[in-house]
Amino acid sequence: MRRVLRDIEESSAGRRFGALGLALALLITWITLASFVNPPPQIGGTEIRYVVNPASVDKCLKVWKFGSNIICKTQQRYVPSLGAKAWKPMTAFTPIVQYGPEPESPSINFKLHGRGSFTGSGVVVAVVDTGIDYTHPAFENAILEIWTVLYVSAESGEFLHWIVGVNGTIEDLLTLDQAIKDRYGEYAFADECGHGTHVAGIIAGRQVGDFVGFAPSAKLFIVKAFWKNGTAGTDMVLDALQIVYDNADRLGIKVVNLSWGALLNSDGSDPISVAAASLAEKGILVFAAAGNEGNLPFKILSPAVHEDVIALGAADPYTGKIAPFSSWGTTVDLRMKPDFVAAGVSILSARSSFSNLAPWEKDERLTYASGTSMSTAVASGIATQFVEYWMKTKSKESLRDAFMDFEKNVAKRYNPYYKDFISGLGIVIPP
Amino acid sequence: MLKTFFAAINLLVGVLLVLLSIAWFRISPLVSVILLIASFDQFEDVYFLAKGRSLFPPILSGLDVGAELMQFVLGVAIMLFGASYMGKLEYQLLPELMIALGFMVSLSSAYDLALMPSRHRPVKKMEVLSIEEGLKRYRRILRRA
Repeated sequence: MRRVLRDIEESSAGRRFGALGLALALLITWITLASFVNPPPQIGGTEIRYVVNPASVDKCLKVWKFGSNIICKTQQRYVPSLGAKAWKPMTAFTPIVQYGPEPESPSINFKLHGRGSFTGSGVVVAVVDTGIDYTHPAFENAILEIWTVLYVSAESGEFLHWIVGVNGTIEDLLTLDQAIKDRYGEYAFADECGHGTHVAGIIAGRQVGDFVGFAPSAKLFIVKAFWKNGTAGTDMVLDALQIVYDNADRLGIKVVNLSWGALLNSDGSDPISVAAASLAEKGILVFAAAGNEGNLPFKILSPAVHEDVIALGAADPYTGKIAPFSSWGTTVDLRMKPDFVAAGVSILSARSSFSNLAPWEKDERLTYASGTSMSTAVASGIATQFVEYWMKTKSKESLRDAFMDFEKNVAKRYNPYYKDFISGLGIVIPP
Repeated sequence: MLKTFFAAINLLVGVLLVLLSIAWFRISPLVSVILLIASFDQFEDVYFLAKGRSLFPPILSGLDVGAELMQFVLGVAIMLFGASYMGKLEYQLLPELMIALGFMVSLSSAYDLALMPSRHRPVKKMEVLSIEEGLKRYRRILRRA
């Protein structure tokens, strides 16, 4: 018997079967791993689920429309009939952390990038975050409109919003907001968390002492989508993105800043990523935080995980190193993310007077914070400058293509050979 | 010992190539298939190092060389990645590991390329002699001595 086996093994047919067996084993491994990357739809249960582009919207409890993309809030037991993947409700978060050294001067914000030659004049930037301190001097004549998804108008059924100069002055807004706070316990527009104010200040903050934002002539479209503790549910985030989507053409929004995310281990097919990518399909530059999950692989948040959304990691402007909290890619389907890195350690910006954030020792109107939220805002500010440059040069190239081509040439690369999963294409640089 | 070491490296590179093949499938199915073939070659190398014979007929030696060169390029790419991040991360373990891994991958492919000529040489069949014939030949050798 042993001899027969040896004879078979040594024969040419044996060699062929050996190769065939090896090839078969390899193919099975490939299929198994590929099925992990693209898991089959979930079935069963009756909890709330979110489905992207369902076959029918009849069973939807709520529907969001982003052009050709439809997102349906439903119950999981309907999913098999809809024939699409169902996503559990999630919590998006916007953590604000005062990690790192207290900055000596606001010039640290520009150390890695330089100030750039433009100011974002004529450019509208949408910031979806925790609201804004509209009374802060850094936002004088900067805000076009403020929307909130926390309150709905009883008369029109629309989300509450304030158009500066149409609905009244900033003082009128403060009076209204204080009344809402007194009655319902949370401001409609003001930022009690401090995150949104800090982020908006980095992008388009006007001169306050030595501080100035990256695009101090740009206008802001603010959407408050988060509670004061810096968290938001799926509905709130989708509502906020819907508001930006619906108003983008009217106001000419060219840059959207999403300094937040949710860890969904998604390949970009989740509802939040799809909604954010729908904005990118409109020709808008959409920036999102890669996450503060640490220097570990496969930790990119949604919506940064989508290939059309520009994901930002953080670098330390003091040392030039990658920040130790900055999330690494790749995505679960092995795409290289983040796309860029920007300064995200001890960044100085506007401090919301509605929050209890500790002020900067040299100017109590300012505070410092760290995170990929801050680096995302830096990139959005730089992109705002780029939009002005793009509009002046009358480039026929689409905005996103023009921006990516420009940055591929000028970005300060950590890895000069190829885009990788730690710093992407490197440090984003203004025109 | 050396063979075990190189077999382990080939196995590791094989797995890496399978993962890269999956990653590239959406970007370019053609590149994905090439990477999958290269990974097959890595597993074949493990077989060769363990069994001492190749699964490829000599006619496919070109493919074998191509796959080895791909492994060499992969090794260099890993080394460059590690070198790019030296001093740029809070902890240096990852860049150092990457440089070491890249070096071993390149070295393994160089070793496989060096073994290539002996690998695809046709195997001589063993001659089975009768006892008489064997003694005759033995005596002839003794006489010459």
